[in-house]
Amino acid sequence: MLEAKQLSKNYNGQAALADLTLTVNKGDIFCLLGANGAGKTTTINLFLNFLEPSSGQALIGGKDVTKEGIETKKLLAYIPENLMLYPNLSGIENLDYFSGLAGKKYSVEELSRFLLEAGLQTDAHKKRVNAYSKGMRQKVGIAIALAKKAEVLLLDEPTSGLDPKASNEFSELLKKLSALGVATLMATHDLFRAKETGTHIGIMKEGKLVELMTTDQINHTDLEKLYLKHMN
Amino acid sequence: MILKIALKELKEIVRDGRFRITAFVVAALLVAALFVSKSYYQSVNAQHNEAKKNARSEWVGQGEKNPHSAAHYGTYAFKPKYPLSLLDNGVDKFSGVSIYLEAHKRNEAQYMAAQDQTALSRFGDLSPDFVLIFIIPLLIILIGFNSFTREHENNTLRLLKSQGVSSWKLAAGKWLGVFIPVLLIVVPIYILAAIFLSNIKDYGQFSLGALTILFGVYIIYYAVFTNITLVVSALYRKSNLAFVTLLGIWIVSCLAMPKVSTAIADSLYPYPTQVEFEQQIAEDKKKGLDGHNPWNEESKKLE
Repeated sequence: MLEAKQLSKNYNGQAALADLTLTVNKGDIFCLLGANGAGKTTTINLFLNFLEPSSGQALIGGKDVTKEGIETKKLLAYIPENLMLYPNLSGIENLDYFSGLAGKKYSVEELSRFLLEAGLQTDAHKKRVNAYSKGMRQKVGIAIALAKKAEVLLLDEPTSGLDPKASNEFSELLKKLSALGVATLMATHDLFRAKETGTHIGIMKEGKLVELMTTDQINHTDLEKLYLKHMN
Repeated sequence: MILKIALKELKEIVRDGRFRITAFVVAALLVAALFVSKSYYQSVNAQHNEAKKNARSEWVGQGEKNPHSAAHYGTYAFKPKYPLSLLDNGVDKFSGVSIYLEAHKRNEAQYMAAQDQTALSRFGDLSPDFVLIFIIPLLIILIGFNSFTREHENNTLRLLKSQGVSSWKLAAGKWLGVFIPVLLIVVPIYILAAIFLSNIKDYGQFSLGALTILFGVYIIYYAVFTNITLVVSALYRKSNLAFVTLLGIWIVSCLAMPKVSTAIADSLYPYPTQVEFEQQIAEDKKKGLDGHNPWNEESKKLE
């Protein structure tokens, strides 16, 4: 579903991302690990076509994101580290707006069901978002992905700053989506979550993918050792 | 989809409080302007009728005379007021209200309100057109200055862009989101004005067509202001910078430009004072046609 082919991005001659090649299939949860500045967010921004690649290609559903920006965005949902919504609108209104932008039309009941499915309590649906916690906003983000019927999820440190319970709920949702065939690419610092939730793990350093494995190949302790080995 | 974006903008604007307060202020100003206009209309009408009556009674009071000398005696003719001038005075201030009619002579219009006022008279009367020309653009700026910048500031732009909405649809939706509130204020004014003006008695001929054209032009004017506001909002990342820039544009276009352009025009092509003008007219008249002598040289040139 998601494919990077020799994807590179340079800033003033400095490589933020060098020759990244990876594939995320339907149902995969691909976790990108690495220090800040390792190129994780750059990768996600390239898939979103927010950045122009210096060379190589980013493909979603076989389509080049730079050539079919609008088409490829219809397939994906994006949840940044801190998902911001319109503070003066309620959760349901935000969801209605964003899914409307994606060309979907739902009744209030359907929208409410998506929010519930994403784990947001019913009494919060009609409250304005400025009263929401970060975890609640991230849930609206998941609901947006559900309502959009996204086939690809791009997540940029979605659980950082969430309490363990909220973080756990988030991971459960990702697993549920993965079971439905959604391909997920997630940048994260959370080694434990990556091992628990992910199907694949990639470790990045200075713009390069230095390690690539499936999570069943490695246990948590070895993953941490491997990670630290690369960081030092 | 454009409508959806516009509706969401409207919801945000209405809930923001900014719009409620400014719309209330604008409405209050308009109502005040209408009252000022109405009392002005009543006093002008009273003066008009009084003056007309006096002129008429003087004319009739000449007694029996031969028509020629009666014509020499002369009388005042008054310029009729038009209903639209209640909304927008136009050039009334500069064009005078009456002409002294007498035989053989052509007199200038008299009693321009602007004669008694300074250059400031171009600005500052509380009349409906003051609100329509100067205040509503300010309202447009207040509604629209952060239309795009708040998406940057709230970090909603990335999520917005990731939904696969094309930029022109977003811009069109936002445009409507600013323009619809303006229409919500202007259209009721138009309807009220139409009802009010068509019900005024003895105040000239009211033409709905003229009123419609007047409001059509205002709406085009507001569309231009909406465009400027959104372009500026899209160019900046910070709301306060966009706001200051737009206020600057408003000051230049609404306050500075009218003053500066008249000042420049005046210094490039100064127009004669009233005295000079009258002297020139007198000079020209001396050399011109002689009303008493149809066979003078100048009349022959015409043949």
